[in-house]
Amino acid sequence: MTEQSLQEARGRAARYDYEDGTIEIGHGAVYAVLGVLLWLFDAMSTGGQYKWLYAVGVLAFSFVSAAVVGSLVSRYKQRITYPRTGRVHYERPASAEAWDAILLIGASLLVAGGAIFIEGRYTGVGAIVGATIALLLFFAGRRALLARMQWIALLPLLIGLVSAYLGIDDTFASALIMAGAGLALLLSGILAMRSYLAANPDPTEEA
Amino acid sequence: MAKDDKSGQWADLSDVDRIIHEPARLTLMTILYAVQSADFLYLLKESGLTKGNLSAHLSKLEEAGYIEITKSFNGKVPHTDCQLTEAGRNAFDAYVQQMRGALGG
Repeated sequence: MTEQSLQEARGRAARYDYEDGTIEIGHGAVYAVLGVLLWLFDAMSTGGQYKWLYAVGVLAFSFVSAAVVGSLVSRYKQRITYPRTGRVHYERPASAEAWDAILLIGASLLVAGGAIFIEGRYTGVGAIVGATIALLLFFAGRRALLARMQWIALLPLLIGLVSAYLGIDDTFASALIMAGAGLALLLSGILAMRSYLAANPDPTEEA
Repeated sequence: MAKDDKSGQWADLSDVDRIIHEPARLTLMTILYAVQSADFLYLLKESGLTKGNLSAHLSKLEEAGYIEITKSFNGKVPHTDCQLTEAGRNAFDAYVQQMRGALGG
């Protein structure tokens, strides 16, 4: 009882949001699209005047898509998840929210700025981008007590290290990292959703 | 001296809040203490109780003033939300202290 039971109850509430897989699917889609955008930039890059515009576009995409995904996930949960397994309000510590914001802003700045502007001047930017995305996923997984997300965090780290080792172009490496992490999250989310829907087939009537 | 201490411990234990001490209600209080609020379905899933049992225990906790139950409708579907009151939070704190004192935890 007491502290251990309370920790368990808090942990289950924190994990509950991830049970239906929607958050991973949403974030996976954003990462994958970001990867495609970076790949397009790399493929079309002639260098020069559009870099600023492109960087602002990537940043705007990161923040707008985070808001859109949040709204879509919330609507899905209202229609599918809450009628099946209920709803819980769990307030996360303010420090966790602050860390989330710092990591999201840091990762977006690094991907938009680092991958685009440092391109060609330094080697190994892919490793830094990969490590940052890995950290983002690792902390998100640790916060939600979600082991599968912590395992997925290894993928961008690995892609980053391999691309740096092979000397792959930084923007293309970033595109690979984002797409790889995005597809892994999508797959993990889809599997979680299938398992959740199989375990909770019918909306249960409330007393 | 030791005997007095022990009788003090048993006195603590016999004086325990029986509304909270019942296992099903203790589970519900623990869940609700850890979160801001939870609805009926979430409590049903987490506690493993039947609907009837859960309803009965929630009613007891509400009668004791430990939880607040809000009933509403999502379209045509009834929705029951539960959250701990200040009195419930204090009672749970006191219960935990009492058990720790009695069991030396």
